[in-house]
Amino acid sequence: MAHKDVLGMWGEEVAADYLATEGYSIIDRRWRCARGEIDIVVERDGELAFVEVKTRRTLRFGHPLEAITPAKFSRLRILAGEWCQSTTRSIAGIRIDAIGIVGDGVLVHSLDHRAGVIG
Amino acid sequence: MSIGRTRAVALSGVSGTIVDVEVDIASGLPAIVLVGLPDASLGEAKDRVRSAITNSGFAVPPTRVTVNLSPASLPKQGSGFDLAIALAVLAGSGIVPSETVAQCVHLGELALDGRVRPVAGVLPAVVAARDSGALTVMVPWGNRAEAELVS
Repeated sequence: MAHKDVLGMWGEEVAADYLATEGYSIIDRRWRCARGEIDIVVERDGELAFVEVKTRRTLRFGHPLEAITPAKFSRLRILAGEWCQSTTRSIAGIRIDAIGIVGDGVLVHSLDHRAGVIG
Repeated sequence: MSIGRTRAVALSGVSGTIVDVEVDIASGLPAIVLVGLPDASLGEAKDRVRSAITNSGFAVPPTRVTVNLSPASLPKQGSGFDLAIALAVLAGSGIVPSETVAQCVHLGELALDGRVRPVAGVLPAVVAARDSGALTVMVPWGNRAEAELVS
């Protein structure tokens, strides 16, 4: 596995732990379909959140969340729709969250959770 | 989260209209969103402003930065809003004092390294600023002779 994938996996673990401590229930992890992958699906107070996690080692090349471009975001919206179609769950409301992590694979330097982001 | 404000001037022929430049620094994905009928050259201001701020040793907050040019229904053109947008962003992020920036009218195009470049139409813009009651207008150094014609 490439270094960046190892770091990405670690970031997703960190994000999932963080969401659990914030009172979210983890519904799904690394859900795949033909159009791509959703990192984490969580639920709290009846609302579903589709969470995209971005991890970087340093801020030298910008904030990790800068990697979520408008094109990437529209793909997340489509994926969220696909996930909803694939479930029998009753869904009260959905949103897309982004979590940006700066860390080296062991220590978390910063974790930035943006709830309900729009394009 | 926080708001920054300043003023600029929209030119239509030789007449100018004072424009309020408002910036909202809010949670969200990192982006600069420019609203208030900008034309193509004004729309590119967000890229110049981002580089100019970064290369001047500051940072655009990595969040959703909404820039509104009011009156929003008035079409606006050109690169003369760059300086006002940059200062409203810096005021909104607490880097420059909001009160001083808010009272001043700012004109000028930004280079990617943060230098302020001269723009066309400074004379009618300064006249419009004066007529609106503004006491201070900041203009590019290269336009100072033109601006000094207004008393």
